[in-house]
Amino acid sequence: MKNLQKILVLILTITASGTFVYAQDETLAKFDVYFEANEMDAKNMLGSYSDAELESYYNFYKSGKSSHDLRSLKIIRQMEMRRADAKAAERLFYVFLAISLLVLLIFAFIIKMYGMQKQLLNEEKQ
Amino acid sequence: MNSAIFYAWASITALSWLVMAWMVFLWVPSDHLQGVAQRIFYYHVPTAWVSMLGFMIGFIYSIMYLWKRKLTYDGTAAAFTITGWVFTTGVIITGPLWAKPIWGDFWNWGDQRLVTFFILWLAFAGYILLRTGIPDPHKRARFSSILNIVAALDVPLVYYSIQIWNTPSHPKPITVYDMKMKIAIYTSVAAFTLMFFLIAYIYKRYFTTELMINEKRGSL
Repeated sequence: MKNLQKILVLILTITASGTFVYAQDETLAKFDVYFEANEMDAKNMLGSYSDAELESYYNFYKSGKSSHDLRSLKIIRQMEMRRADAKAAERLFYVFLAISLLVLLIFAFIIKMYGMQKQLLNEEKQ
Repeated sequence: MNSAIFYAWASITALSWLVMAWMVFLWVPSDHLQGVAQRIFYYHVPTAWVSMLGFMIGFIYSIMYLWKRKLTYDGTAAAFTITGWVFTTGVIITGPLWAKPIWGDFWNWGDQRLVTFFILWLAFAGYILLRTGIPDPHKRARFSSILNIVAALDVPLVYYSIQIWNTPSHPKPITVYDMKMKIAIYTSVAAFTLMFFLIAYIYKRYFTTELMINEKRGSL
């Protein structure tokens, strides 16, 4: 009985790892199109990959690299992260400004209308 | 309108704005190319939609005034047109604030959509100025109705400018594939439409009150 369990575990592990390798290969194959595309198409294509696909490629890329290459990769990542943060902060500022001004404009208009109505009714009373 | 209905409408509008804000800032994903700046679109697009709606309703009521010569039609036309103009100002504020981080510039005079929209804004600013400059209600209604009809002819030009001139910076109508983005944009359109009709209604009520007072005084 114990042997049967061991065999089952072994079969399941092999099948699972096979599926994983297959899925990984399939994901990586998607990036072939990216490498073959021209600069403009490749740039647009980057956005179409899911987080999991990007992660998969990142792990694949890292696996065959030396410690020196991995450190170099970290330096590049650090620079890109700082750039992305600065860009996001700049964009967030414009989002904040646009929405605040729009809401302010609408409320200023409502208050002005309210004031006009009030003035009109006061004039009528007098 | 019954005050209970009015307050219910105002409450639903306030609630829809809260839901919209939650969706735009916390629920919907960022665009992969434009990042957070794309979230301005959830305010920019509905603002443009309600402003066009306002001008079209104003256009219809201006025609009705010229046909029937009833000042209530002029009041309704003015309420919708002026509210539409306020929202047009909103479009002119939010558009450049999106353009700056994405295009690198606030405005592009080479873009026909922007130029025709700016002309629209100017034309309706002229409508407001005209109304403040003529004290006689019938004369004011007649001239402003004509100007409203002429200015509203720019609305289809703004809408079709992309197809007519093939503008480089404004894309042709795009299809939104992300379901969350789709739901967020429809919610924003609904929230803005509710707000727009609420403001236009309050403004119309002002014109109606003014008309009633003038009738009482016998100045009409």
